[in-house]
Amino acid sequence: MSLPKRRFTLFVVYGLSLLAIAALAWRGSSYYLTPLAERPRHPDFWSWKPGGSVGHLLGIVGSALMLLMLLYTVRKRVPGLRRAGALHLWLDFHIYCGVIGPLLVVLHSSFKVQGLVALSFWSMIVVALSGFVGRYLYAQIPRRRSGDSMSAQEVQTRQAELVRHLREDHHLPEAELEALARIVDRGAAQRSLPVLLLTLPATETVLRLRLRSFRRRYRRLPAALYADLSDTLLQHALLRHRLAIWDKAHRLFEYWHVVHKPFAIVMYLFMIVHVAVAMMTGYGWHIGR
Amino acid sequence: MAHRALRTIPALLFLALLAAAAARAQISPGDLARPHAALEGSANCQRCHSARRGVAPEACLACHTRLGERIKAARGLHAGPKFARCEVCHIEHQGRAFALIDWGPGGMTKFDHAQTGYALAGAHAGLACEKCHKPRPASSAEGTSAATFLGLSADCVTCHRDEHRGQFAGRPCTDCHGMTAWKPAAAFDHARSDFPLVGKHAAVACAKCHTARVAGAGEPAVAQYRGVAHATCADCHRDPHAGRLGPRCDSCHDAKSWQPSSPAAFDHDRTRYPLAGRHRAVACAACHGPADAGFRRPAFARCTDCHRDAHFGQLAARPDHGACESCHSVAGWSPSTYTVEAHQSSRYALTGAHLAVPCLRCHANVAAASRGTATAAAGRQTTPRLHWSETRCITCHQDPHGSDLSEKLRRAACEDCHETAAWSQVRFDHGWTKFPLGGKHAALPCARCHRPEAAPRQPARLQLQRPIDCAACHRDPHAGQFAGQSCTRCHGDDDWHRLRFAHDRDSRYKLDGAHAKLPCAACHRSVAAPGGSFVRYKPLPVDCQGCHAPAR
Repeated sequence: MSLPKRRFTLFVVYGLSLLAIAALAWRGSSYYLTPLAERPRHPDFWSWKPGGSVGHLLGIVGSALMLLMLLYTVRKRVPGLRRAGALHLWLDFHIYCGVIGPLLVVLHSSFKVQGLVALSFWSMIVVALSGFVGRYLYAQIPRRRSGDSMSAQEVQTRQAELVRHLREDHHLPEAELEALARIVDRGAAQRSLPVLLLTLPATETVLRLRLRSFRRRYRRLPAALYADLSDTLLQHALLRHRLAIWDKAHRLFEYWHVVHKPFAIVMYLFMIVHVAVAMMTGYGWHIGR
Repeated sequence: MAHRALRTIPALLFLALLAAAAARAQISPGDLARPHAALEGSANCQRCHSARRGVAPEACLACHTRLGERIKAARGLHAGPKFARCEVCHIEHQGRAFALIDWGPGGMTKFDHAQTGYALAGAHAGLACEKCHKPRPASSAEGTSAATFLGLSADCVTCHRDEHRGQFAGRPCTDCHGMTAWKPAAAFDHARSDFPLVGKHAAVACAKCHTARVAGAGEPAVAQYRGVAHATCADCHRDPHAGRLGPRCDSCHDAKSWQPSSPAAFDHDRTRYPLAGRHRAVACAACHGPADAGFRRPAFARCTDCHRDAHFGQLAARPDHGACESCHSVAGWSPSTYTVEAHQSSRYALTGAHLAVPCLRCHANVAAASRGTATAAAGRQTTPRLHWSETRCITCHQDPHGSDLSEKLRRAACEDCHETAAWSQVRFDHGWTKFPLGGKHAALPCARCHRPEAAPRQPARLQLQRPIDCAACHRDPHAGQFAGQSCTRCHGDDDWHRLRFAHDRDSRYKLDGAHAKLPCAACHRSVAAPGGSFVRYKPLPVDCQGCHAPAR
């Protein structure tokens, strides 16, 4: 799947899903905005409470999406499934489920979080939020088109290709390449891992802004040429930056797993307990009553 | 190595969280309400919840036994199909302070009580809940201090006292009474009783028949609605006829009015006043008043109870006090049964010509006002005069003598001289007068002396307007020879010719000798005079020569 097509697909799927969730939230807002003590007398109580006809369905669908997220893990870890679709598509699916599932579970909870299931809930929140960080860190590690991470050798080869392309095809002067290197390196100063984690988004944003003013001097070039130049400059700059933080980015990604996975496990564990308790107390597969 | 250490972190974190969770042992979605606090705890979930049935009503009713009994008996709000699932209304896990009873919008005081199967109507609607629902033990599990709304029966006597003290046992109060007020008994219809009220009975105050009686010592008086005898009228009514007309009031009367329902069929002879004579033809209303004004029962002991005294009390002084029936009968006012014979025993017995006089000659109609009080006489112009304060003749008769009576006679009564047989029959003793009649005077008709002096129709003068001497009536045959002397010196009143005269005694010339043998006329010769001849008695000479001629 080409990148634009994939992005479009994701845009449509996320758009529709978020719209649906927004509609649900809007429909349930009257109930959700009612103080807890007064909710039992709310006309929507029996549909929008967690065990209600709507609330229960939200929980089941949300939980199902959360369980489907595990397919990504399975795909990633079982060697036999290497051919079962591109890993980055699975990740897209994993992230989709990780975004929509928790939102549905939040609505299912009706923003009332207490008891044992709160552990599952807050674990889910931590896992989901950490997913966003993970998604960002994931992007900091150069990857092949399949989504597998590139080795340092591969990255350097690619970087050399880009520099040659700039030199030979775009006839970029050497001084310009050095200026470009200075722009990138200025943001790649030595930082501790936590500082790097926190400043990385800002650093990359600043880099992109500087890059924009850098390439603006070439904007009189024919459009196709300018587009290619811009793209090459960006790839070059980002690769140079990611090479600069290569080690730290990999270590951060490692640590990220340490956060993401245990909370996911806790979430699943207590989700199972929650579902088991619900089943035991009569809240089975039937939706509502 | 560092990676190895890092990989243990998730496991440690997980265990720490699991421990925390175990410590809390909290899988409940929220605290139970205060009444259910004893059921709190993870071990108790299955006491209310079951995997197959959720919160089954049986689980609730295992404790709420009294409610279970009522549901089984299909009584009360909870027995309704709407309320089959306890947890729909009694929402749990909402915290200790959460009120388990959902009274609906408006709270407890606005609760739609009709849902319980007992709609609060009328005066009930405004009552505070606790007026009826007093704290009672709800169940053995809840102890005796908890309040419950259960346990009240829809029977009125659950809250109200039976004001009839069991007279209507087995019947709901609402058969007669409404919810708004005890009185009036809105749903009560006497027509449905054994004694439907018709006619005048409908307007009678309840308490007139349903009197209050005291059932027992210390008990208040209670109106009797049951067992009120009503088989016969006499059960309530006094028989004004004192049984004379039999026990069947309805043979003459009905409940619409005491007035006999069919006057034509009514036999008045069965009453104490049988109708006779003219009374038979009198319209009922004449005595008993108009029917629509109630049937008056007039007194009837005396005629005057109905009739006006036509005589205006003139006869009140009679021994019978003027009882009408003494003179009149129901056959008619006139003619009166008063006869002449009866009149004879009156103060003024009729005699003589009075017996032949028509009644009205004496008992003429006079102005009623003159006989009775103005009120009694009102509306009637005249009435026969039956009473006089005195019975003197002059009361009726005119005194024809007028001033022609001496003072002595004036003091006498007419009947002293006259008879009732005829005016002309006078039995007068002339000896009373200054001129007693003797001799021939006694045989003379009165009119020889008492001649009418005026018009012929006028009675004779009784008092002669002349001196009482003979000359007043008689002519002097002596031509004044004895003037100044009474005739009676010589004459009596029996015979003019039988003289009392004794010549020797009464004259100055005694007769003796031959003189004594001479007839009177030998000396007293008749003398012719211009007024007629007369015998000369004096003066005559008393010497011889006066008669005898000298011898020649």
